[in-house]
Amino acid sequence: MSHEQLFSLAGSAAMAGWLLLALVPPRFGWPQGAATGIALLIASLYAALIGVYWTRGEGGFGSLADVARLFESRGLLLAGWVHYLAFDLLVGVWIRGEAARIGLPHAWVVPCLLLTFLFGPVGWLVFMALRLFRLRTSPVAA
Amino acid sequence: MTATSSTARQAVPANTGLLSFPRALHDAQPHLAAGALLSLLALVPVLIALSIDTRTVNDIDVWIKPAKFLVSFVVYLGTLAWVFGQLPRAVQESRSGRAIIRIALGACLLESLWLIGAAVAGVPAHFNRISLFWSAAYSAAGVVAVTMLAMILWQGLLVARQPRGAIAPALKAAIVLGAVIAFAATLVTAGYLSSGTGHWVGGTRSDAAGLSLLGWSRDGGDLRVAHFLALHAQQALPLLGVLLVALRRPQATTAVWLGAAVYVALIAFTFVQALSDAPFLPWLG
Repeated sequence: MSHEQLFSLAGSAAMAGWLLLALVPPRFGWPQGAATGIALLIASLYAALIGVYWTRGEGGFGSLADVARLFESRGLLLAGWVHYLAFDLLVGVWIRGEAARIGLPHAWVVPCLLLTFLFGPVGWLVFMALRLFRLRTSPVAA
Repeated sequence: MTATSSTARQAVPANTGLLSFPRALHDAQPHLAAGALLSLLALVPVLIALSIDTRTVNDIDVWIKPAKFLVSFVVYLGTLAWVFGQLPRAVQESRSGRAIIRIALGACLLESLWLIGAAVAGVPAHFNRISLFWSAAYSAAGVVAVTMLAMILWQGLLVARQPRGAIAPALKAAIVLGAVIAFAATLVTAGYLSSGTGHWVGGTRSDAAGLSLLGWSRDGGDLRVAHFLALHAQQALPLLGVLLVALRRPQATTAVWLGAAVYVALIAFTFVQALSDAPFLPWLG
């Protein structure tokens, strides 16, 4: 499989996970399990890419210039992207589960999921803000 | 056993279907079964890597070796679990039982790390003497492998020490013989194999045109054939025992001994065959 094919495949898999998390009514918990399963597969792809390309990469994590050099390897660049896909999805899984736990309405969760999908940590920060507000204003949530 | 009442319900076996065997292994010995499952799951990233990587060792993809060994760990741990399942619970909970379990799991983990590490680095694992580190790793791996064999033998001895009637005699004989043969024959075949510089005897020194999946040489001797047969005596003999017991053959124990003798002869034959430069079943693809 070419890098572009793997990129598309991983992206589609992640997308499926996000759609399940966002569109399935919150009273059902199985989307978390399904999305986690998808994340496991994407993470396996990541592990495989590292196994294949790590020893051929130049650069490292010591400086921004080193990181840039690392990502000059197309295989490692793909790995980096796949890393995002896997972990952002897992954050989405956590957000949905935590929202259900503290009683945050799904209408607030969906924009957080969208933001996490597009801008990773920003979506998580927005959710953490909503969560703080919810925990401080509602006596029910623990 | 007589029925207590004509209205007594027939017990429905809970384990049917595709998952019944993995579930049976879990019930037999959960730690070893979990280890077997993890070995199987580790194949996912390894097979993905196999489909992507273009690097080769001995002219075949670097990831073939870790993949093959992971499959064999599934089988090794699964068989150890199954054997414990044939014995009273107390055996696996004894000091010896727990030691066998821990050592077998630890050994598989170490071997996996070595094999996967070599694949990541793009270098051979076996016979690798290019650097002090890989040389030492190969030697250490040999010690770990012998330890894995010793666990098979140790478990076989635990089975042998079971009182009469604890386990069907033919099955007992099959497990013990399988353990002894696996241990002794693998020591001989693998010992000889590792004393050289490669698994080929004559023929092309490449795995590219080898037998599908196993990579055995098609144009010369390959010492791995005898090594493979020796190792899988751990499964082959017990399988024979299970079959004979299930078919309720009379003289089942005798048949097991006969089967063991034939199996040893087969190991010896393929070993000598390899040593004489001859390939195993060269007409096979």
